[in-house]
Amino acid sequence: MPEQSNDYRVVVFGAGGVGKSSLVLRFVKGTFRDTYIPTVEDTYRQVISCDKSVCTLQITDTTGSHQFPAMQRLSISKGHAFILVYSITSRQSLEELKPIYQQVLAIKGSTESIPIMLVGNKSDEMAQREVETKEGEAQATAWKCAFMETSAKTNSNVKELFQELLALEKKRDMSLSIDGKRSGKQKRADKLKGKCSVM
Amino acid sequence: ERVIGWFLAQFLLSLFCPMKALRASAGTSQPVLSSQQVQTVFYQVPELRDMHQSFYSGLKARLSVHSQTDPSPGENREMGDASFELTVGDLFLKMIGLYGGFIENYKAAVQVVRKCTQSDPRFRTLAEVINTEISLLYKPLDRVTKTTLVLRDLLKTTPTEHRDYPVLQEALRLSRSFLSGVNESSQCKREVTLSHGMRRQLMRDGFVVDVSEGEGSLRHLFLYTDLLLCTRFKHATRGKQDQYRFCWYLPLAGLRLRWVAVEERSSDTHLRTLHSIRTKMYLLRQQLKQQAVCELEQMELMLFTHSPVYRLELHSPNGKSHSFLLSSLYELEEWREAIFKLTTEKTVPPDLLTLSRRSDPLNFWIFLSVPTVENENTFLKCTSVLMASSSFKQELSFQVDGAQNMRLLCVSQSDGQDDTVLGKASLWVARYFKYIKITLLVPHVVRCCAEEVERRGMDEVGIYRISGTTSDISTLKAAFNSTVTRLRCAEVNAVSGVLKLYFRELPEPLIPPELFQNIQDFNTRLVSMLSLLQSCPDANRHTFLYLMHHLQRVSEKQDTNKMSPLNLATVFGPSLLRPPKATLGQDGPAIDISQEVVVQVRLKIENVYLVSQQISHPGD
Repeated sequence: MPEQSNDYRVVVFGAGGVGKSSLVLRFVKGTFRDTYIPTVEDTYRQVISCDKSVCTLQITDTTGSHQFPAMQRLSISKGHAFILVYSITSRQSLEELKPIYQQVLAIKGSTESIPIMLVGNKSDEMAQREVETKEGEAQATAWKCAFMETSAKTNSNVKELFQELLALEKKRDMSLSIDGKRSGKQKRADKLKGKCSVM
Repeated sequence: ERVIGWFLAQFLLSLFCPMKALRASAGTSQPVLSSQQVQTVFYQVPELRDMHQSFYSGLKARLSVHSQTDPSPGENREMGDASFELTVGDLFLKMIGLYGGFIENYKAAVQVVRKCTQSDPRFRTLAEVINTEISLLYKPLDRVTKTTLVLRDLLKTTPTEHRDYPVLQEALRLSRSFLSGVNESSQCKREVTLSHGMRRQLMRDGFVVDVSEGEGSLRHLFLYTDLLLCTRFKHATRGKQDQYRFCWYLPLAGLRLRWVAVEERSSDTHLRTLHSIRTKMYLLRQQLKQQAVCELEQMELMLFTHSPVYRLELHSPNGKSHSFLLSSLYELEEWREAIFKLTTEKTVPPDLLTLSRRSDPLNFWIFLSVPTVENENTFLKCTSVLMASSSFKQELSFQVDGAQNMRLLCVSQSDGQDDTVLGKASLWVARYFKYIKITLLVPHVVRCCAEEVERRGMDEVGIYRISGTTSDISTLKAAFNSTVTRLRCAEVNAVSGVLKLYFRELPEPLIPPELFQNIQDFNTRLVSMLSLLQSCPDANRHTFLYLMHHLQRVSEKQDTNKMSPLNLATVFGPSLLRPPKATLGQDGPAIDISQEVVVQVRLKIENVYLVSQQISHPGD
């Protein structure tokens, strides 16, 4: 893997229309758009602290509407951490993540040292819920990854999602805030607030 | 003036000779024919003679006056000229009127003469003596033709301001319309009476390829009631009309026919030539300008010369034989049938309808051919299908390119015997296929999926964006690869997924990678894309346009399904266009290219009507 740059690359995967772009945009720009625009591929950059210095967090927002195996493989092999997004309003979107997870597993060999977050988005649309929180948790347990339910629309758990992801990275010490790393206590508090659990 | 003199001489010579002959026969045939018959045959002949005489004398007098005044001063001469020519115009008008009556009577007269020739040997001998009556009766008609020419010459030499000019013009108009009337009536009775009472008629004609002398040469074949005439077609050169050169003829009597329903194999180079001709023709048709028409015609003839594969052999009893190649079996059968009908008295083979009622499963073939729009003799596609049972469930796809008829021929083959034609039919294609103009080149998968999406998925939010279940999609894919699929039960997002998958998994993207260009200039973008699309292979272009039409229909419902052209382009673009492989591995350009893809495809979706109008129906 070409590792010259100091970038830390996060790749967001998920079926079409589950809210990958919305999550990323909410996190990067703090905005939410209620429009319906599919993504081809977008990359966002943000400066974060890493091992007591700074580095660039590079978030790749992939397309959910079509999977080119080659493109997907490329993203996976280059990525350091992965966010697998489904919509709680669509059981199928969770199903769609399975081949992607298998792909990650196949390329990375093992997922143990790789930060992966399973995210159930659209948690605000409770009325249309198809996937129960428990089911998401069960899936995360099976995959040995972290799990969280978010809503890009109501800005629930979005920042927490990225914080948690970075915390999962054991090789480096990373934090979203540039001014030093947070205390473990704070982190735990965040976790509780955001109802997130680490498996 | 010299023209007048020439005309006079001509007139004297050619008119009085038949007049005298006619008069003579009128006198001698009195005892043979009844007075009424004489009246019919020699209708207005005396009047004609009188009129010609008065015309002649009038003309002579005028001419002598004219020649007398000739050396006199200009003023006098002009006067003489004027009065003289006035008389000429009058005379002409009168004469043509009379001729009209005479010619109208011509038919009746000819009939009487014929009847008399058959019934009365005396008359026949008489007719033989004074040449044939009919040719005599024809003389006045011949005269009118000459008169018309003379009138035209006269008009040419007469100054426009001359008083006689309008009169002459009127006379010319009359004689011309009279002649065209004669032409029309004579065209419907071109047949020649044969010795044994049969009428020779043109039964059928068309282009064939004669392969009797080794290499195939283009011939125009005419089938008459009793003979087969083969001619060489000579294309019109500058200032000349199309010509036919005689090659050979065969009497139909005793002619034996042999034909085989096996296509003669063509070599690869041959097929390539054909393909290039077709391509050129396609391009020409795109232009469809006047100057291209002639070239197109020649191309078609060339194509016709090279494409035929079905052989028809003719064996005449005197040992001569010819063999032709025809481009479709249907065509061949029509020829065969036409000849067969004339050589024997048997009934025609049963038609296709009776075939479908046959109970025994047959080993028969259906031969399909689709003639081009312009020329019935050149075929876009000829194909054959073996039918094992009486139900026909095979999918065929071929290019029709605007053609509207499809010909079917059903042939039964049995060992050791000549193939038997069970039936034939010509179908109006548009009734049988939904999107006939562009669909037949479009793959089955694409059509099925698009139709299904249009049936059920138009109101689905995020149609084409939301992916179907991977397992569903792969099941559908496998089904498409093996048998006929039942799409109706499948989830609509899976159907849309299969369509996208199909395009993704094509060995080559729909838009060939070498045509992928990073077009920067926005204004010229559409134009360059159009030309790119033009240079795509037919199948790609048609499929692309079909898909664009489909996506356009999807985007019309964007209020419900939220799929605007841009969204559809985003979702579909990367499936249709793929960036060249070299850039795939790099980070930055890859993204730029995918944006570019989106922009290009979006433009195409938005302008799909414009695009398709320019590309698929240039003539519309």
